[in-house]
Amino acid sequence: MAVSVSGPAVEGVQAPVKKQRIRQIVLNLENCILTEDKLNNTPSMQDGLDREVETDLRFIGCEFIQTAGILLKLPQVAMATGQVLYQRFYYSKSFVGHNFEIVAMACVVLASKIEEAPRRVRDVLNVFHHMEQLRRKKTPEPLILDQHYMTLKNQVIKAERRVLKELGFCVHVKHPHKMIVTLLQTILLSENNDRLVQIAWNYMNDSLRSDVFVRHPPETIACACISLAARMLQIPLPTNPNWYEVFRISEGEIEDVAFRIFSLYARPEVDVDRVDKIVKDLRAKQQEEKRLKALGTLAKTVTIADEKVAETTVVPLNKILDSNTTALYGPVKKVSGVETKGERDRYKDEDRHRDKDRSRDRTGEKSREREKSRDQGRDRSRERARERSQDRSKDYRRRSSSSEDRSSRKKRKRRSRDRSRSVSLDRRRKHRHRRSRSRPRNTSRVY
Amino acid sequence: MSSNYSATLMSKIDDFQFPFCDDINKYDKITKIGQGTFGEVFKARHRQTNKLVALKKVLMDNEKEGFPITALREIRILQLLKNENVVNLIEICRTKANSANQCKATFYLVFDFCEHDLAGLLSNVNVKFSAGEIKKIMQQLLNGLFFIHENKILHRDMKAANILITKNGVLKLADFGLARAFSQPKKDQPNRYTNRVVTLWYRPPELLLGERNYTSAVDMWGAGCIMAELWTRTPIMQGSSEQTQLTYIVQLCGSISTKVWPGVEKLDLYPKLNLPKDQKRKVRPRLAMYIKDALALDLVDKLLTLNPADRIDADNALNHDFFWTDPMPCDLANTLSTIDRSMFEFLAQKNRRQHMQQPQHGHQQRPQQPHQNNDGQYQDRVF
Repeated sequence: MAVSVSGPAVEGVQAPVKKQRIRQIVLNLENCILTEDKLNNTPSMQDGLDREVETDLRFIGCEFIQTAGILLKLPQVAMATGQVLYQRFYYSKSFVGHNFEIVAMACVVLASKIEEAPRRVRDVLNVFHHMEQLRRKKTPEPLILDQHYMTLKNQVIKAERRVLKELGFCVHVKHPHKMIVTLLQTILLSENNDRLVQIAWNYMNDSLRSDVFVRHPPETIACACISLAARMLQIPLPTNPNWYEVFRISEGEIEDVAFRIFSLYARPEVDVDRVDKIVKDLRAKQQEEKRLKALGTLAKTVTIADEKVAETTVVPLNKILDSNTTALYGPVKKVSGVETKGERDRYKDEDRHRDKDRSRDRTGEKSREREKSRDQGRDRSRERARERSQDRSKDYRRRSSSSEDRSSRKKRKRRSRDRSRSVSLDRRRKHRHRRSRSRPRNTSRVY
Repeated sequence: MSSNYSATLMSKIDDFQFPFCDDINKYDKITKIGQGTFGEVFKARHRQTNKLVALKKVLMDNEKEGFPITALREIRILQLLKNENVVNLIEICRTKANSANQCKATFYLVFDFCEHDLAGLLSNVNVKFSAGEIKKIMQQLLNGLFFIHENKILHRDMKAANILITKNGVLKLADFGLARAFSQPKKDQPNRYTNRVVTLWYRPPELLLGERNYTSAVDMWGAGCIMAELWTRTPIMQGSSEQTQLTYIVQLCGSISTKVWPGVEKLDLYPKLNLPKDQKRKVRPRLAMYIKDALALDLVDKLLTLNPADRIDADNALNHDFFWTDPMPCDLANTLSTIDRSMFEFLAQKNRRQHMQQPQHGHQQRPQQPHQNNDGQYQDRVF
């Protein structure tokens, strides 16, 4: 798909080039067809995932997308797109690194947008939550709006972006649905083939769960589905020559698609929890390995350092471990844009204090306005926020000097002045603190 | 057909990583040339090939629903539309996610760079187009519109600032941020598109009256406004609100009645708005002082038809005698070669603000984008 190779790679006349370089990416609307090598050596397998488990994950991911689509009343074309995107994505990233359920949700969100039937992220989360409860045979309860929900939503939005990035925005999918109808009209030349069309469509929708969409162009899939449906209904199709040869499709290709569709039906039901556990174990193992590796290098440096300091410091092992874990996984991160209520209240208090203090200031009026606009425009662009914070810092400088002036002039009000000054100092410190976190605050979008 | 990929080619691209987004660092930003509704536009240079491009940033700060659907539409539509008179999308680049941007990657659309836009050219008094050149501009504009309409795409933001012209005189339609695919309206199942599209001055009467089942005729009205603007050099109807805009339209094109426009009474806002009655159609007399060519007047008249069903479509407009009589359309390259720097409306506004030496008559602040929030920081966009 979407690839044009320029330079030696295409001409091929020059001395054998070991490593071709792709110079240009061409965006187009054709479906992705992958090479055998890519199909047999997927990123998940490189991470040590069993082929069978991977097939299972692909299968249930697609099933989730289909079920969620039905519950969300999406048109079938959106579900089909979502499933193809899901399949494509996992030829670029591993199941171990990217949770299949979150990617499935992201694919639903993205596909609904692509097919002009947008659904809200929240609705998609709700539907997946509902499905999970049914799977666990619980009575469905609504999803609670809590920290967990926020984290999940952000993860889905991030996953959506990652899907777009990994697919290079080639998110268009050419579906064989329409082709099936037109093909049947041309081959059979009869009106009454609704049943045949429906069965062919059924095969096609099932085929989404296999990898045929990254193996064959949509025309081949359409032909294979028709021949399967015709076989089921015992309707003869032209054989001499074979009707699909018009499209330069060989019998072998048709058989390949048919084989892949039928092997779907032979699969035992997927145990989601078991598969999930395998992936989680692998992930944990991978992280552990990484950690040990990092620890190895760290320990080495520590010993070298120790030698230099001539055995004056002994670093306890658990300390190394601690520092290492934080380095690897980062400090416990707050999900961007999410604040707890307590924090928000504290900010409000601070604001109030500042306002009170500002009223004494000459520029009080102006700064309060600025303050107000800041509060209103939390979601405005980041640049403006930065500008404002710079303005604010100027303001502070001005005020601190003026408060010193006042202190020299009016000794009688020493007590109050002291208080105000301490407040302002305190505030300045807080302010610095606030500026450092002003960015996530201003882009915060979930309230 | 994709099955045509030969086995040799497939083997060549074996070590090709799945189609990806390149890092934006392969381009070197030169300057900002515009501000759009969903992002900023920069001029940039490819670090290795020195090719000039325009980078359009996809703003994602306010998105609660993930990647904006408008950006997604624009990308998909531009992937589909490859035509000489439509701006070419080269690729999509991104910034690496790091802690500085809260692990959020920003995406950029990379376009071929075009030196001028029509609004900028028209606001420059030193640029004078001959009759043949005007014909060439209109012909290319209609050609682009014909192509996108043929592909079932509505542009929905026709205006002079969105018409780009390269230094070789090739016109390109740009900014598909509001574009979308459309289907021919069916009787039993009318389309329900949003009518809050198109910059006010170029908005056709059916949108102003609340039509949601509109057709490609919305773009043709904009083409008519732009065509008149080629002579008047300033937008012909500069309303400040929907009501005044409709009043201007009525004053120019005559009263809106069921006689000239059967079915208008069904539109939502028709009974609610108080419009001047018994106005005569004055398109020809009012524009005659600018446009001396009778055929040109005739085409403008047909483009600015009130009833969208009667408005001329791109195909018929291209067959209009205006383009097939002397002086024939001629190349723009000569005139454009006399201009030594880029003419963008965005930059022109900046210059105007700085110098203020000769305030252009009739140039009020550009009207607000229809779908923008009232945050009072509106700047017109170039792309």
